[in-house]
Amino acid sequence: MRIFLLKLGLFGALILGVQCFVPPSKDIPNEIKLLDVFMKNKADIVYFGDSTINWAAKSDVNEESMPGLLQRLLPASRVAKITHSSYQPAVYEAYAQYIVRKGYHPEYVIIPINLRIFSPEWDRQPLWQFEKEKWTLAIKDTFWMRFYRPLAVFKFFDPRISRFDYEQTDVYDGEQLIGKVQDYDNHTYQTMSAVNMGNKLRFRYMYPLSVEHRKIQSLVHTAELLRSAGIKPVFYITPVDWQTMQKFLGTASVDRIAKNVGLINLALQKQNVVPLDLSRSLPTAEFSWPEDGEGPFYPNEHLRLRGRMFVVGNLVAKTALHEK
Amino acid sequence: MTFNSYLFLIFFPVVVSVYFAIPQSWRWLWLLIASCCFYAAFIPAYLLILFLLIGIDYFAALLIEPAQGRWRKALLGVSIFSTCLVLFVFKYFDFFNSSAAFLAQQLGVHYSPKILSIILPIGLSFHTFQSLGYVVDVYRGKVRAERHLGIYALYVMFFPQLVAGPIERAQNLLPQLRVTHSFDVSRVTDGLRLMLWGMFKKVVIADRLALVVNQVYADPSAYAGPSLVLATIFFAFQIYCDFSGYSDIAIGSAQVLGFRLMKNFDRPYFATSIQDFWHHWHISLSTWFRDFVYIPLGGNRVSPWRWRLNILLTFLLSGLWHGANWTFIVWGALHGCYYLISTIVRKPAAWPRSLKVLITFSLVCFAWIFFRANNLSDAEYIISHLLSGWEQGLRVGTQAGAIGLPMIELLSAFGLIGFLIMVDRWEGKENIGTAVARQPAALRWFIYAACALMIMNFGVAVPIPFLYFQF
Repeated sequence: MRIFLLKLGLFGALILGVQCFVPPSKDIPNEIKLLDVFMKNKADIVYFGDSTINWAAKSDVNEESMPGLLQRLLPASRVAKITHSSYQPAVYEAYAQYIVRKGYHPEYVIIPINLRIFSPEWDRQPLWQFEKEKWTLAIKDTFWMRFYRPLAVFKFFDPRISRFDYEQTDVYDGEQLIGKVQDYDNHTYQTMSAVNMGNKLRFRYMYPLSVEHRKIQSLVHTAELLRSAGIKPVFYITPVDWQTMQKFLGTASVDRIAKNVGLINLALQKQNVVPLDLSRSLPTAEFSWPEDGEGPFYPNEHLRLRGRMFVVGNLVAKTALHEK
Repeated sequence: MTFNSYLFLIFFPVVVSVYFAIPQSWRWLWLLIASCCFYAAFIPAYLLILFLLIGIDYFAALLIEPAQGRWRKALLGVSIFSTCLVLFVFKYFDFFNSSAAFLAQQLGVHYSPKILSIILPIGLSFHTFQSLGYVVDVYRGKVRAERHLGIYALYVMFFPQLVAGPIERAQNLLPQLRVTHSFDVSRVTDGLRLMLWGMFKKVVIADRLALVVNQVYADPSAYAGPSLVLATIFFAFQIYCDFSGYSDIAIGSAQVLGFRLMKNFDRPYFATSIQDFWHHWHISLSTWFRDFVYIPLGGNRVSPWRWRLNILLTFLLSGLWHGANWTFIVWGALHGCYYLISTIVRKPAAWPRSLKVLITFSLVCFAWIFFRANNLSDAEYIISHLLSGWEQGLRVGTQAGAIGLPMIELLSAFGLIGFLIMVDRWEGKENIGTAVARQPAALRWFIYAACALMIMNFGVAVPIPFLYFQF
């Protein structure tokens, strides 16, 4: 038995030894490769974001993304767009750590805060945890990249939250518990009705937020990291369709948005960062959701061209962001 | 926890080390704890369902054994009903309810069903069948009712075969749970070798083929004949490598611990007829259906028409067992029809064996279309377009409308299928494990190392769950 175990140990060591000489995997998320390219080309502004900054309405004559529009406003600066649908603060934090570790030095990093990222619909959704991105950013260009592929094959980068756990997450309407995610997710919304609209909006925006929320903490750490490296972080809160919310949920919904935004402000102010609050700045007409899908499509943060231009214009006019 | 996860790579050595280090009297408890941890890694709350099933059938068997006459039969009925009820609620309720709603709609009756949308407990169909088989065997007097609740629980929950079989018989597994297994180097080596081969089949072959299959079957209407044919053939090999790979890891890991589980696959694509195919594909399930459905229905000791009905019913139930979807039912019915037709139409004995293999494989592939398609209309589309668009050829690549694999990967997928066929052919002549074990140590180590490094570096990194986990 002892000899067998010795042989087994030797075999394991041999495998690991050979693996050390295997070239690091290049099969990493495209957004990370893209960031490297932008940084090597000395981008001045890195604009992170989810689908909100890319989305164009069907009727838009110009489908340009927000970073594209920003580039037009600031032609002398090089704007890098790093986006993926459902990106969220934990990934931005990983990117910030990577940028600092690699010694990249963009002047500004823009981070949109989509209010839906804190919601039960999004927060623990397994598909939107981005473990692979976070780990890749943590070990990229280190010795451990030689083990990247085996780790990926053996599911090391799979989400730690299961679908079941996600579905058991509590859903709140303000301070009141109104059910679990499984009661509010997907199948119940096949037909558009006032009840369904109300439920969807509750599910998406009516959660109570606290400063301890892991995503707020990620935003705080990101601000801290970037500032410590001499990079100026620009945060803004993306517009939500407050008019539709008010129509279906009453004024309490707008109060809830204001309260949650206040908490985010409070947390970030400790890092001397004041996010630009655009949450209640646009009317329903500037959102693209009424024309987005063939089936029922519910309010989200996707904007029409005028809405996107409004956001970008405000970023230039009301934040520290300016032409270099 | 899945076999192809880093968690299992930590879990398994720990379980084996402790298992051989502790006295026999504690081993059942250790394996039971390990099995609970293994299952809890999926959804801890679903352990309660397993405990419920174990409780029902443990006590049912104890009551059935001494009972006589109608009382004995009634107890068996209660046990089967309760176990099937659990399966029905979790797996079939929504399917039957929505089918009833569809039927009501066709008849102009308003019925809006309550959809439960419960996440199916992993492996529920497997352990309910294992549990049911035990109770029926006790009823038939083939096996004594197990008195030790812990041993019985371990029989149902034994982690290597807990979530996707093989569906073990009580006569085979229960006695082994009481035997002292010593650390036998050659047995452990055989087990580890089988695990390595199973892992290779799953992560290198099956998952690579899945990239094409998933892409094409997600939206078949975007593809023409060549892609649809390729994806269907790839699926045939994907499901074989996926499931037989899982079974190899299960059998191998049990073997390391000293347990012998039944063989689940025996070169099924070398079958020369549909009957032959079912003797070599998912053997533990087909023998289960033979012993617990087909024979109780009367088997072949009835009139020819009744026998045909028995065959069809058995295949229909087998289809339904696989999933709560009409596609699986049609798949089962199709195999039933194949079976019946093959008993009527005799292939000339003069036909070369390779032709018989090819015909059988084609029929099996055709049926896989229903098994894999998301719904019947997708299956209908695929079948009606298999012969169209051949002049356009195959669009290779990962861009929209292409098959999901670049050329180099596609060629390697073909190479791997060729390699698999070669290995299976060789396996028909002699056991490959034994053949490898005969080689000089340096060559053996080279083969093992190459296999492990291939898994680590050419395994597919996209998460693709074991296909049979959904059942």
